[in-house]
Amino acid sequence: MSNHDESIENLLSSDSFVGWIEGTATDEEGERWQTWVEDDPARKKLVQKAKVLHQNIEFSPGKHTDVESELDRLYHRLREEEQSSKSKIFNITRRTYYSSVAAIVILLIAVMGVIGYMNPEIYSETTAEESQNKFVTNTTTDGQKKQLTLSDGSKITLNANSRIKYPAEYYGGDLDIWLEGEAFFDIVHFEGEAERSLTVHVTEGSIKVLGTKFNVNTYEDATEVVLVEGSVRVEKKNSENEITEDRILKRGEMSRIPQVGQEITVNQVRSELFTAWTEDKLIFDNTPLREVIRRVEHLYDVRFDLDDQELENTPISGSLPNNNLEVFINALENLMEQPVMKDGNIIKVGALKSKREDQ
Amino acid sequence: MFLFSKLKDYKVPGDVDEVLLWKSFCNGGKEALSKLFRIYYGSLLDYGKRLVSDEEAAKDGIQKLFLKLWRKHNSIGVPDSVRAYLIVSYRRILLREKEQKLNRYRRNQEYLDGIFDITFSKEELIIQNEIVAQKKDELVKGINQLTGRQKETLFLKYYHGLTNKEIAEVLEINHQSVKNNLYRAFKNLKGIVRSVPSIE
Repeated sequence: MSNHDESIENLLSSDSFVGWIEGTATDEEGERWQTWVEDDPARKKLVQKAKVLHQNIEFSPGKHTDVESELDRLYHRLREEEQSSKSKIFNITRRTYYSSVAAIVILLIAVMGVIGYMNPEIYSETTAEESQNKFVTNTTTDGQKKQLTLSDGSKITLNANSRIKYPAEYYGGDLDIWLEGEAFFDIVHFEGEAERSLTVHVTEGSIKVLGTKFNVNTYEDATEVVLVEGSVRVEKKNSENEITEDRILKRGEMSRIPQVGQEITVNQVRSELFTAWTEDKLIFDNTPLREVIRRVEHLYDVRFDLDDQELENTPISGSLPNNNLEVFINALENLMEQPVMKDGNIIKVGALKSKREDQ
Repeated sequence: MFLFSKLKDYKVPGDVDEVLLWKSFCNGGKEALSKLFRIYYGSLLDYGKRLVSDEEAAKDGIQKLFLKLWRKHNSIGVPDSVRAYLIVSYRRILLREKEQKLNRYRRNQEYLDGIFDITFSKEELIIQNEIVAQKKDELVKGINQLTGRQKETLFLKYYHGLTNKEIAEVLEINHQSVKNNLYRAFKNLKGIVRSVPSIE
């Protein structure tokens, strides 16, 4: 088959030609075919024959009278599934009874702590000096997410496998928070006398804000800060805790605070891709699979095993659930068009193929 | 000359509605689910029963397809072509079932070539009046003599109106292989129109 192969079989196996004879081609393409036909009188006959063959191949649809009964069958199965998934949730709740209680207790402590430091009168018996070095630490495990609400209306959402530390008591003024992992901050801005700054400390430096929405991710060797609203200052610190570099971020910018020896970088991003996890989603836009893997490995403490290393370049676009590994695997399988299976802590991509070859 | 110019995107008639329908399905609309089912049930079944030569298994496959879609409705995007998307998923479901039934895990070319190896009856092919009655038999015979893969390609192209690119996705082969299959199929069929007079 070459471009000069002027045969019926060559014409009809081209989508462009078929589009033209069916009248769905663009004007530009139509003109090209028109010119091509007019260039040689023999082509007119050829096109005529091709059209006749094309128009005569038509498969007749079968008569199906059971659409409605099959649709009823589908709804029956959907209802069954909904009921069984309800009882499944009940089972899970019972199985994880003790850990749930523990989580509630930790959360209660955390909430009490947060309320406490925003409402110092609760702790009126303790002096500022006594509580100066007291901190509360809040952690999340695989696939877990927590939201902390400060009494001034500010919210901090903690992503899976993360740890946040903050003073157990708060007497007004600037607030310091330490973060490992990922959190989304929605900090209320106060003006005038009530103005206070909030500083998020990470290994590589700190992020200083007055009031704003931003995401901080320290899962990797560097810390990534994505600004949704307002403005923040990112500071890089050396081992002596001295600020060596700082940058002001504007909305929609992502900053990477690297480890010692490299400079802070800033670039424009679609911030919603980085904050979707707060709504239990992971959104990807032509993101290579290896980036997706990096993210998920941090969220669930799993490892990926690719059947073919080439797969790591597969661009992933779409929305995947962030809070349910099973559903995530199902969705990834669909996006990848490759089998994805979980085996203990290992997620195999394209594993079915290799299993077949092994046999 | 321009035979291999850039392929245009295949437009399904009323595809704007289809996008809206798909979106409301993704948002959990059961009405949209019913609508999609009613639109595609017949044409999926026409394809499926030829793939597995078992109408009940083909129907079960449609149930599985829509159950699977519903389970993940809030995590899927809008495909370029809903029809192509459904066919890709449906074919995969049916083949997986068929493989399990046959207890064959190795998918080899020979096996895949045979999966669509069915014979079309005269009634299954609509013959336009450009071809006289006797030619109808010739065309039916000609199509039935094609390989299973060629028949399946023609079916996807002429029954479902898929583009070469979409057919490649369904058959999990590359674009050029689809073209080669079509080329060989038409080469075998073109003799039927050899004697048709051109209309001036």
